[in-house]
Amino acid sequence: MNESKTAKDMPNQCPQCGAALPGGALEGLCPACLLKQGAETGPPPESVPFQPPSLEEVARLFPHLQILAFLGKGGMGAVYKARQPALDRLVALKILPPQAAAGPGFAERFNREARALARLNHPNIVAVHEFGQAGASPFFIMEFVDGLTLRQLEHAARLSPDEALRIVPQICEALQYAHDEGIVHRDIKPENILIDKKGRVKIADFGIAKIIAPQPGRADLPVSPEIGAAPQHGPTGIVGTPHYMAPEQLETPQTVDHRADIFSLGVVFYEMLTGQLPLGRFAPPSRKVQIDARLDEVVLRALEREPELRYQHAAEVKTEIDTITSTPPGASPSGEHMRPRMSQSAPPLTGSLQSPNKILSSLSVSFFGVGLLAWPFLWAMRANAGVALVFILFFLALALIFGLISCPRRVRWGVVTAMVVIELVVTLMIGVGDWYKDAEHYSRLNHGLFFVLDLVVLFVVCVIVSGVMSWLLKVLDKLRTRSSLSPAPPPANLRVFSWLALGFFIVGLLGCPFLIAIHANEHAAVIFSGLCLLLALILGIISWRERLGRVIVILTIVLLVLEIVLMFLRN
Amino acid sequence: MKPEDSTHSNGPPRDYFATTRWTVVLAAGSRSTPNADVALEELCRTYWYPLYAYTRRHGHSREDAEDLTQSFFARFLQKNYLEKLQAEHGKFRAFLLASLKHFLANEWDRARRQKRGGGLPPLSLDWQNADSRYQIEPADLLSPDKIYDRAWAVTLLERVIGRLREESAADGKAALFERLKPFLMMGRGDIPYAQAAAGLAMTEGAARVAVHRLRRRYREVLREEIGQTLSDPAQVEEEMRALFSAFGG
Repeated sequence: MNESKTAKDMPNQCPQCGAALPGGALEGLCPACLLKQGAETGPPPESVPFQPPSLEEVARLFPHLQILAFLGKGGMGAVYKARQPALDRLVALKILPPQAAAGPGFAERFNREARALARLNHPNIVAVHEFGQAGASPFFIMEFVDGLTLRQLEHAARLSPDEALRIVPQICEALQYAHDEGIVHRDIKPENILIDKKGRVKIADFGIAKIIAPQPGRADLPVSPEIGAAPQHGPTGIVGTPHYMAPEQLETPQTVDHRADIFSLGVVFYEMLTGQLPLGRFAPPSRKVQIDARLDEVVLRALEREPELRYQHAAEVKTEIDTITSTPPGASPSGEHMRPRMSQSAPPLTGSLQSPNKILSSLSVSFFGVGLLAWPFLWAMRANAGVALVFILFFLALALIFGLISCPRRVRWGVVTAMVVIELVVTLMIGVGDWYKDAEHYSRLNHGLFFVLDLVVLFVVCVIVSGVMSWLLKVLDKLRTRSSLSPAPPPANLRVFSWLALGFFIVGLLGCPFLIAIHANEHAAVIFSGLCLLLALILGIISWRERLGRVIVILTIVLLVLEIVLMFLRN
Repeated sequence: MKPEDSTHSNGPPRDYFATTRWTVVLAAGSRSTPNADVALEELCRTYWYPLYAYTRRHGHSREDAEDLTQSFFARFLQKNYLEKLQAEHGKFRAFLLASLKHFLANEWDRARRQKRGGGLPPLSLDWQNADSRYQIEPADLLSPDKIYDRAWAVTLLERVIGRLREESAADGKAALFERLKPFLMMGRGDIPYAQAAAGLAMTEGAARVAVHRLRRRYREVLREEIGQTLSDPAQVEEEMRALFSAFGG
């Protein structure tokens, strides 16, 4: 054995691929990257990485084209912007590295694949106009797409979930079309997904991985366009790693089919939503960003390790996304179609697929409802109007708190900032009013301003409380996922019921003393809270499989019994 | 290997596959020959940690895992499994894991009731180190099989790096090796030669040559070490791919 050192002072992430580093005697070396480099069978030492030919050279090779600019270089060749004067159109010229053509049987494979590619005719696929061999290098003349790659877009700015949801269905359409034509892309990644100026998605490099990939008989790694060859876009450091590849592309390259593309699509989707790659034990996207929790299932299913468990067709991914985007979050038939798959997917994900947002917003709605309904009710009970107003405001504030918890953090802090600014302005105005003490309007002005100030303070308090509560919820959520690796979580919608039960329980609990305090009819107060508790009981029984539901049922029964006993004692 | 590959590798010709440790063991079968016993023990000494990691991930406590690994080796070194697990003969990695699974399923309880390993002298292994190492490793929720493969790859690479280090030290280039080591992880096109040269106080050309030599030697040693665990030299690339895939997805 080698001498081992502890891992105290080494970086714990690989600078090359970002994976976590193991401890032990490797001392900060990344095993994955070491193996990757070791797998390089090393072309003759004197060979250098592919150098894209200069513009002049290309112009010499392609006299019938006007070469306009060099667009970029990847492991699969260099791309130039060019003009076909005869047709007066812009084209992209892709020149593959000459090494690619060195393998046995290349010419035949190249012709076969390129013909298949040239047949692809779809608005979301970069069209192949022409192909051939110029000198030692195979080339393609393709449709020129005026736009950016998805990678460039991601570098420029984080994509919003909405943008991701506009892009992914287009990728699905292109993939489905190509798969129907019997062509597998094999290298779906942000570098190959172009978005033109109108927001249209165009997928480039269909099937080129297969053309370049060595034949199975060669001693090289069959995945060498990714693993062995020069990295695609050096500075990003992301490409040239196997992160977008389906597991079977690494393990059994001979058996790869169109479902590998669906896996890669899942990686791209996940990255678009979260800005991160789904490595190791990764959280579902909705845990990282504010998105519809139903999308988790789509992403996770595309990322299933076993091809059989993934979506079998790209079109299914599109259909699911369309369904999700066209129906509001609450109204999903999630109950029945979420369950069976959750048990199959990776265990760590089962705990909290259901984001708390849905629950919180439904709580908010229930409090809002109580606040609104309370008015006629209180009026009927001849309660003091001012006190009734306080009561209503109390529930509206609760609704606001829960509403704010469930809204994105950015919005919440926006509200806080706005409120603080308003408060500052108001305080300033009061100060100014103070200065003109003589004015007789002063007192009226002051009164009005203080009322505004009160409201603002109430709002700020609500926002702060909601911030603290959402933090607490997050902590609870973490604890829950840590402890809930056991199988079969109850269906997500039951949790909503249990939370609603909690809402009614709180209202019932607070309602009685509150109503009595505002001199409402005592019987009415008891009936009111009794009704609320009864509802809580029913909802709690419905969500019996949730711990919260059970707790509420027990508490409610105890309380109801107490209340009834008290009533009898009084009478 | 393509035949023409050997033309540009100076140093020892690639006949290291002719007698890999694993082929020696397999050739001896269940007979006990000095060569085979030494080879098998050498293999076990190198690759015991993945077994330990596997059993730990399977939920055994530290003590149990140690005990279990030790009893397993006692059994394993008697070559109890060579006949039972014919199918896994090609790769020592697969064979060892299959043997362990077999042991866990059929013999562990019995072995535990007897004395450790039924009175055979235990293999001396560094348990203290094993446990701290297991604790350090990223706490992913990977399957035991994957943990096993990863630990295997790491052990293999440790051995390779260790050998390279020794070779460099023998040439009086230990310090240089430590500086060049990180370049083993980088793609050929990514290596900042100019920067490396400045750090090493040598010319860029010299740095280029040094890095290139180290990388070539690394690939040779890596293949050689992988080869030691295989019965068929043609499987080296496949085995490398399998190990690499343990780190994917």
